[in-house]
Amino acid sequence: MHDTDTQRRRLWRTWALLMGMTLIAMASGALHRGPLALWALALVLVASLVKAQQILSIYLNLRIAPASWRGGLLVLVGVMGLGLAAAGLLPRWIEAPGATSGATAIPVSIHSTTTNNTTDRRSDRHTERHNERQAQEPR
Amino acid sequence: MNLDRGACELPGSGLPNPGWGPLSGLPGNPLIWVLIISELLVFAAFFGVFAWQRVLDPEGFLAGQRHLEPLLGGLNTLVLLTSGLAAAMAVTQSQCPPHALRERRIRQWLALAAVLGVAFCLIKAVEYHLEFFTGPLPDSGNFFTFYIGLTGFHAAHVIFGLCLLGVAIWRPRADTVETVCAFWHMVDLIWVLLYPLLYLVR
Repeated sequence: MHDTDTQRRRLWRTWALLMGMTLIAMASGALHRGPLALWALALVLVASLVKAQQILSIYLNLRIAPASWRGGLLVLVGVMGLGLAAAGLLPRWIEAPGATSGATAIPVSIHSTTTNNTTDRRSDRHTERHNERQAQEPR
Repeated sequence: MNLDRGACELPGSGLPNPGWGPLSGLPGNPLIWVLIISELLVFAAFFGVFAWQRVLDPEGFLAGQRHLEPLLGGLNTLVLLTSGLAAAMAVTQSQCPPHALRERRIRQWLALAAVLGVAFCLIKAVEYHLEFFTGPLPDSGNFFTFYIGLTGFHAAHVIFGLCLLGVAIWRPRADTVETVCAFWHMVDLIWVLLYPLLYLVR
C-alpha cells in the first residue's frame, strides 16, 4: 500500500523533468535554423525518448503493469524513436536521388543561407511578400 | 485553490482488471490499451514514411521546417505536458474512497486538463495562421502534406480527448477517469515525439 502524497510528489517530479527536457530540446533546436549539429540532434533524441518513457511509466502508470507490457510498449516507443533518428540521420548519410555529389544530401547552399536569427527570417518573409505584391501590381 | 490536499491509501497490489486475460495487468479499461497500441502503431508507420520521404527530399523538408514556428511548437509541448499532469492528478485523486470533496477535486483537475487542452488547440490555430496565411509557402515538396496530416490527425485526437474529458467531468467514476486519462496521456505521448520530428530534427 502507498498513499496519494507519495504518488503526487512523484507526478510533480516527473512534470518538472518533462518541462526541463522540453526546454533543453527547444534550446537545442533554436541554436540552429539549418541542419542540427550531431550533438544537438542526439540531445533532442535522448530528451524525447526520456520524456516518452516517463509518460508511459508515471503518467500512464505502467509501473504497476507486468514487465512484458512495460517492455512491449517501450519497444513500440523505441520504434517511433528509430523513425525520429532515421529522419535526422539518414539524410546525412544517404544521397538523395538526383542530388549532386557530396558528403551529405543536404546541399551546402542550405548551410550557408541558414540563420540563427528569427528576426532575419521574419525579414526574409516580409521581403518575399513585398516582392510578390510588386509583381502583382499593374504596370 | 489547493487541489493537492488530503492523502488516502491507494491499492498497491493485485491485478487492476482481473478476468481480462493478458490485458488484466494494465491500468484503466483494457480496451483503451487496444486503442492506444493501435494509434502508436499508426503513428510509428507515419514516422517511418516521413523519414523515408525526408531522405528523398532533404532540401525541401529543411525549407519546410525553417518555415515553422518552433517556439509555438515548444510552448504547445509544455502546455500539453502540464495538462497531462492535471489528468494524472485526477486519476490519483479518483483512487481515494468516494466522498463529495473528492469528486470536486477530480472535476477541478480534469477541468484544468481540459482548459490546457483547449489552449493547445488555440496555440495550434495561431501557428497555422502564422505559417499559412501571412506569407507564401516555400517550395518544400511533401513536407507540408506531412505537417498538416500529422498535426491535424493529432489535433483530431486532442479534440476527441477533450470530449472524453467532458464525459469524465460529468461522471467522475474512478474507472472512467482512469480510462479517459489514459487516452489523454497517449495524446501527450504522441506529441512528445511528433514535436521533435516536425520542428527540431533536421
